[in-house]
Amino acid sequence: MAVWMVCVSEGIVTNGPLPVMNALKSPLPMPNPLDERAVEMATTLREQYGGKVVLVSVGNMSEEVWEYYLGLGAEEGIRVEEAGLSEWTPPQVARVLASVARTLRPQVIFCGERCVNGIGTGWVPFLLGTYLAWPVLPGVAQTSLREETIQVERVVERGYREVLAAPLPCVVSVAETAPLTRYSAIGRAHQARVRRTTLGDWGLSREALLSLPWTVRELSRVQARPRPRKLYVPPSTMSAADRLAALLAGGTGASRGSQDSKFFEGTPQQAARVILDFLKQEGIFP
Amino acid sequence: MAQNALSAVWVWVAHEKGRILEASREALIVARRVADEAGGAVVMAVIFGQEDEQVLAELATYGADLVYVAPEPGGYAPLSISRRLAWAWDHVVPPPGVLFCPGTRMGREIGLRVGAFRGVGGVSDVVRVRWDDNGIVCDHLAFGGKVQCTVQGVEVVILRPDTYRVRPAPRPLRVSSLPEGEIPAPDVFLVEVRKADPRTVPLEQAEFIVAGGNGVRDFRLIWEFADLVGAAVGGSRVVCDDGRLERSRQIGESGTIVSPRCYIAVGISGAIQHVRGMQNSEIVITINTDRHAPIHDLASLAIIGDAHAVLQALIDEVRKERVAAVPPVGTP
Repeated sequence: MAVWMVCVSEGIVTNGPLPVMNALKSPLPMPNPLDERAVEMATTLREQYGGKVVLVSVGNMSEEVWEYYLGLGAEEGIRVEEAGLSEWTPPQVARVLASVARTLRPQVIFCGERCVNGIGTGWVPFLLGTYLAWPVLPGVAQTSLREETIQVERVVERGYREVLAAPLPCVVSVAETAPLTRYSAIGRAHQARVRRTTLGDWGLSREALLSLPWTVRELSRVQARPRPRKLYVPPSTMSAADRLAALLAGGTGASRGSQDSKFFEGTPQQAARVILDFLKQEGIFP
Repeated sequence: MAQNALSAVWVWVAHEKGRILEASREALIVARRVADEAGGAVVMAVIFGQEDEQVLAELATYGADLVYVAPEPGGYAPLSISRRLAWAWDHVVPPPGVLFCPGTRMGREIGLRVGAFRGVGGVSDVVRVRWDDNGIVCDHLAFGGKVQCTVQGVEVVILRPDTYRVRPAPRPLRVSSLPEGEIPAPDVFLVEVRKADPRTVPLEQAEFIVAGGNGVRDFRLIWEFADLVGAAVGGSRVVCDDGRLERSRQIGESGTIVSPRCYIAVGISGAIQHVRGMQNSEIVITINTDRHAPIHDLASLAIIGDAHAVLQALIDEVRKERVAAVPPVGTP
């Protein structure tokens, strides 16, 4: 029977009423939106080609988030936990997932491209592919199978789509352009078979995991400064008179630095010109 | 590796039509600054493709000391490039201590693949890099860009684009060939690259959206303009409720949540449920008669004017440009 394995992780609520640093001190767990899409992608393939969807989580995950993922349509769930190990590095997570995959022998392993509401460096799918020596297809929006190969579509820059193919089995990392999930149903979650396991069940030891090299060490966390929005700056190809006219008409000069600088008031023709110049400046309209 | 000495840094540089891409210029400038802070490490750029005089001149302008040139990679480029970089890492002298990758889709993939092949640590979305006595220190964004984490011990740095100020830092440039070795056969294949049809593309995948609201009575103008500029069409809840636009094109919390590169909001006031569906757009252009409409808070460029008049003028301007771009009959 075909197995569609999905790696699921947990993020935290960062867009609630609390300032983000307070949210980090008392985190409210929530699913990673990209892992949700990964479950949806696996479920869609299961519906087309049969088999079963197996979710795998590494490390502690709250019951609410775990049930939510199961309720999206998985038949089985495997939780790998290790008492006393709370912070997992990407190589540790990938090593555990690789061990589980060697036992389950899935056709495809789906992962979110990154944990968007966690640290989210996006390292795990690539490490997993390297450990298993399987191809990695990153940033996927759609998948289809053709005999022993998978074909995926990715959204790339400037409105283009890239179609990639790889032999099975493989690792697919799912992008935010993938279809949204169906609703999570508590009934489906309760029907799923869940196994709680430890590292020893997969032939791994805590010492072996701790000895995996990962040189990155976190020193501190602070609230990020908001990134400024890009503002329209009249192109230097405009004549001085036109630039001055634009400024007097409501302002387009970045040097003014005020909120008003983004407003433009003029004739429709002038407004159209300003919009097209801006689109060209940003490389959106050739 | 010991981080208390840095003799060289790598930068993978993307170029197109004889020009270095802006994100790669940022990577070069950051690498130059880190190399200088580390006491004069060598900045090694790596380019794939033909040796182009213009590209080499730009590399020298933006601080590279040495450029390794490698032939155009065959097959799926990010995989071939990262395999070659991972192999060459141990075969260049002096050995690089860190790889900088621009924050483009391809740069990110190459950085992650090289890091995984070599089993070294790295971070993405890096907004600041500096050198101190213990090695490279990076600030990167996490938790959806809301938290800035400071980390150490990084060997692959994937920069966040549009973050660094690019200033020329000219250096004399040496050119060399990238060492070649036994590279495994590719296991990912590029089948095709095609342009998405804006009329059929799902809104959540659209890069460019023109959306109309209650201020647009005639949606034919929206469709006409969107077709001319290759954008997808969306709308607010009100226009879908009264049938001016099909329900599947509703943008907002109760419709589709979009994050295009550019979003033009025409005649949309900015009700909170709509804003929640498009607030992740990179660039927002608004057209509205009301200067105090909440949608302007998100705008990069806010036009105060009548939606129909501005749309008609936009259509006319684009058409005029298209006609001007067509060579007259009989031109060789």
